[in-house]
Amino acid sequence: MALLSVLDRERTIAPPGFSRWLVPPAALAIHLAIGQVYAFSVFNNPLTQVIGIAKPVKGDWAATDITWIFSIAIVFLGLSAAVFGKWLEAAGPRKAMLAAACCFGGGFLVSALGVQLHQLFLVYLGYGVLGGIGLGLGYISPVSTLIKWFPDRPGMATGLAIMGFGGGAMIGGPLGVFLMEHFKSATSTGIAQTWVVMGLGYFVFMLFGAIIVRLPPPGWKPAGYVPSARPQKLVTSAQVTADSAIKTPQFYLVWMVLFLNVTAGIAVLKQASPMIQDMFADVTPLEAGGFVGLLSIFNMAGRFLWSSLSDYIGRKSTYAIYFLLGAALYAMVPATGHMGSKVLFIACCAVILSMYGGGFATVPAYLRDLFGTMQVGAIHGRLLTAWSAAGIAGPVLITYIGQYLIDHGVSKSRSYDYTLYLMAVLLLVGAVCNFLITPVNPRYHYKSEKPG
Amino acid sequence: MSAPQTAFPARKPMTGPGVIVRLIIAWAFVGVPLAWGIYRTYLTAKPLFESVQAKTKA
Repeated sequence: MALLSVLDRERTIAPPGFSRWLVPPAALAIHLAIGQVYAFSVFNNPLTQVIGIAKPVKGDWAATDITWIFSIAIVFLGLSAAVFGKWLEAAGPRKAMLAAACCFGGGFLVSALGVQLHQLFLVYLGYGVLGGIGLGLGYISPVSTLIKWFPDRPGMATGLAIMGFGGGAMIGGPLGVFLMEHFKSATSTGIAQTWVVMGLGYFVFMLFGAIIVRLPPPGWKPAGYVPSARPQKLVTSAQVTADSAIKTPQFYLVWMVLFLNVTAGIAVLKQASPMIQDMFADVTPLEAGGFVGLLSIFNMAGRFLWSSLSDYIGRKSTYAIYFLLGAALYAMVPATGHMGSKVLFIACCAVILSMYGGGFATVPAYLRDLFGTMQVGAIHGRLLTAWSAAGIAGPVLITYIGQYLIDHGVSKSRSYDYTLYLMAVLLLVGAVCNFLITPVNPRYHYKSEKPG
Repeated sequence: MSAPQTAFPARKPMTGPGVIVRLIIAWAFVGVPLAWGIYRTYLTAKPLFESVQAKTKA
């Protein structure tokens, strides 16, 4: 039991002389690993050929059944972040990161067994449920720690970590393809072996984060840091618990802000490859793949750059830019297609995706401004249900609207126009929600039970 | 009055060179895979850059 005490919150308090710049790599180790979920699609086709190997045969899993693996994982990401947020605040980051590593790595191993035994429910249970819980725990585990270490630059700090989630797909995608090629044989697609290696590899990678993470001693402040004497309107010095936060209108307004920003971003992300090929006849599938890659770089970079900017111009102003500039760019994209300007089209989509990523990375600092640092991780966890909802609503909305328009005689390239205009309207609704955010009523503030 | 007992021994303060070595190791551990991922993504995006460049020149 003494061995397990190293996981305790008290044992993660930093010793004197500790550099706070050691905490972002700990957070990145977690987010770079769990960001692999964005690249899960590299397994979609091979999973439909587990028996047939070269092509799908009778008895192989259907493509429609495979898509559920990712969806289950994203749903469990939101659920576990919401449910375990308060536990995480009490248990400390090291215990939470280790639990995330066990769940995410273990999810791969259970799924590998599912592929080996050809039991799809084991893959749902492994990568979907267990892996999804690892995703949720891992996503929120470093956030409140980073905010405590960087009270002077919370946007930049959380942006650094959440940037890792965007970057994780860039590592997970090629790594998955490389390993499958390596393990592929005449009798195997190599998926089971690939998942065993990835499960163990990601476990070790995340364990590194759990080992090096530290909490600041109580009352710690960066050298020379003086909180602003002129308090900003939305930045509170009070604390609000997670249970109280969900009773405030501010929580639901921020929920809508995240939900609408993600829904609109998914429209471009999901349709990027077919959209550029339908709008520009000379674009090859290879070049379209390059376009998706370029967007993922902007998605990642935006997470760091926009959230860092929010430390200077404020969270509300940053989201106002996401929504107003975003709406203008969404409305402009169809025109760039009709003008035949590939450069403008790519530039618009790149900025849109940078703001999609920025929306994810800026939200923890927005919550910290509104609700304080005490349970910001737990509040962030509950807010992530907006992501799960948008992950389902966004693609469904886009697919059904697109299909409805095509069924009513609209050409495929024109159908994108209406979808993008609708997304611009959604962003304007988001701008209104953001505009309505005001400081939290003091009656929700946490009051210490200590007398005097 | 004696100092309060802690359940675990107090850890030594980190020294300057020790901190620098830890910083290099920690950032390299996450930086190298991230740089590899960005490079691989750049290779994927390269045909698009070349196509746009060729169009602009033409």
